[in-house]
Amino acid sequence: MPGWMGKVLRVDLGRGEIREEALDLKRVRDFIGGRGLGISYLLEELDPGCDPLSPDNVMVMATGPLTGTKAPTGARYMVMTKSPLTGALTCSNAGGRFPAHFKWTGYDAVVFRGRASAPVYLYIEDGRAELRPAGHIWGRTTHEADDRIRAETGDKVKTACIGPAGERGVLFASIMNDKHRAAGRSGVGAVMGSKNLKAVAVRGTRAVPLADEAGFEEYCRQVVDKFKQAARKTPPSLRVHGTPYVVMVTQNYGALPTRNWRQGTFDNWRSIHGEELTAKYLVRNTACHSCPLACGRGTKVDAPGFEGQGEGPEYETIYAMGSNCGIDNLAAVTKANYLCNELGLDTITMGATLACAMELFEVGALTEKEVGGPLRFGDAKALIEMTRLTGLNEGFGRLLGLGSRRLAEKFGRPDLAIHAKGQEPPGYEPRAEQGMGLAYATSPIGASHMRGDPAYFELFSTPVAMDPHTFEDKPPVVAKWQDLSAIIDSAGLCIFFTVRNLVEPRIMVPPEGIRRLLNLATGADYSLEELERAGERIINAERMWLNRAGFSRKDDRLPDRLTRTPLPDGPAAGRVCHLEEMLDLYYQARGWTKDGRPTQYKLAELGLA
Amino acid sequence: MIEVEVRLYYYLRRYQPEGRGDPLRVRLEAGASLGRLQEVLGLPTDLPVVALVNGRRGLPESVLGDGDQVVMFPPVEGG
Repeated sequence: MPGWMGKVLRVDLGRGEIREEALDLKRVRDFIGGRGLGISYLLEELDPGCDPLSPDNVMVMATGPLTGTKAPTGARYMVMTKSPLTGALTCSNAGGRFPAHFKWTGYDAVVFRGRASAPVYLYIEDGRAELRPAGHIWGRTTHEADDRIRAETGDKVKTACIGPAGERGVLFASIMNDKHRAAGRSGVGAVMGSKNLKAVAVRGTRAVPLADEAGFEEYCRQVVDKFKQAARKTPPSLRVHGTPYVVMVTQNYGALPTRNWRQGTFDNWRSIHGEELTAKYLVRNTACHSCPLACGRGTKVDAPGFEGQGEGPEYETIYAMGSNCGIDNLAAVTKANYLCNELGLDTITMGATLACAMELFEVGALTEKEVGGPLRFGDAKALIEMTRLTGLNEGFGRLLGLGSRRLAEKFGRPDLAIHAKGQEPPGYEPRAEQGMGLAYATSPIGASHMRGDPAYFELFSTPVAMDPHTFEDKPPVVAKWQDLSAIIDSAGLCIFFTVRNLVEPRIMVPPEGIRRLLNLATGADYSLEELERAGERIINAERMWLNRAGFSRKDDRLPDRLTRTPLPDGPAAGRVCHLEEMLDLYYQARGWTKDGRPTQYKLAELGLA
Repeated sequence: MIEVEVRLYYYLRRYQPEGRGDPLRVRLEAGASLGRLQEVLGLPTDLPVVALVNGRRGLPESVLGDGDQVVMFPPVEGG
């Protein structure tokens, strides 16, 4: 089965049973793979009403047809389950080396259910899989667990682990692979922890079969050569400064969330900017499997009190822990990022929840008594201490570990939690960037920039530009980019390279390069229309599951701060996000009812009825 | 004449005249456009540039006013 290893693992942790089944060819043609494959299983097998931290929850780890191939950025896998943070879906995606090695073991995906009676890890090597005891690594950081597993099984093994945060049920715990790469969002690590599953460790040596190997390699070479040629003349900012370069961009548009989303610009932005990170802390670039960009930041910090070494921070971490907490100390942000990676925490929700707590403290809803000391905007030492306590689920960290929505509700100020569906946004201010507000509100996982990223056309001018302040024209475009993200996430590619190199440079982003790669790899012979339809099918399948779980228009919303309170500063001063106006047009563009449900006609058209 | 403040980022700094401050102060004839500013700075017309005038995206034909703040950077990815 070209593009695929052809097998899926089923792991019942309660019974300690593992079985394999053949991958269904029609399923992968209809849903592409990765994220699409994940929702195709969850739609059939995951009870939308289940308690996400109970054995009833189902967790899928899935690769795409391009994962582990020579396709540029064919490095990614997807973790899909019911989120304990939001009650909605997760689509937590990571690159690195683990996903490719996972696929090379001979399996395209693994579906977990149940709960092991004692801690275990799943070990997979070339066509065989077994559950092994993990009592000796339970309680260890992700880095210690990775070192220990590799010491036991061999240096060529790659792992995806949870840390103490996932074990202890922190609602935004991450799954870390290759130590530094995160399937970060929505609490996938807590689901893994609730199943008593500490890690997945893989050793694979099998090549991914390709439908047209010579044609595939030739096309990959063409794309990469073209990229390299352009990069010599105009080096991508992602390679030179990584994602933290975006600080300059959002600051200049007035879209850099600051002090819990009360401002759109941060006076000391230069001290947390990507150029500062490159100059002070960058040791080396790191790259995921088959990536010509190498945007990863291998960093080292010597600043007293913040010493450490690791990877990061990315832009989103810098916004969440930096400007949004009023912190201009990049060493502290970098150190807090290391702690998140080691303890297994999502950096965005960590920083954004802390910012919410800082405002709760400022208005007197939280006091030193609950916190154990003052918690003021700008306090870099508190950032470190609170991150540590949250990762260990101790002290005030036990409350921070609930995320901002639950924290703010508990202290009587739900208005101070900035979230969509209970998930904290990444670093783009919807009042300064209207399409992003619509994307946050309608994403299947709660606020996210990765499930259709309007920053590309609203701020970055890649591949083409739209005015960030208009809103009437955004709904069909946001819908199209959400479909594109479903295609990218399902193919096993990374958005960073794909949006400039594998789509046509038009606002409705025809995924022509992805189509060619998929057809050469799998022989699926997708037309452009069929592939775009598959992206739409995935989004609609996710929406079906969300509707069954009780989500509808009432949940596609943003806090009043973003939709009713005008932004006070920067180039977007005076603006609010026009979400309600956009929602009607969005549902219309999607063929959904005014209540945010796909019509029977739409579902039938997509083969989902 | 008008005077505008210009900030160039990333590899567009190649076009920053030596010894001139940041922000760069550029004097232009009244009614000058963003395209004219790019010409004065020596930015090649085929070089993709994101230009913001007072935080709003400008087009080559956008007319500049006295005291305008102009930011220019190459198209970016990531986030």
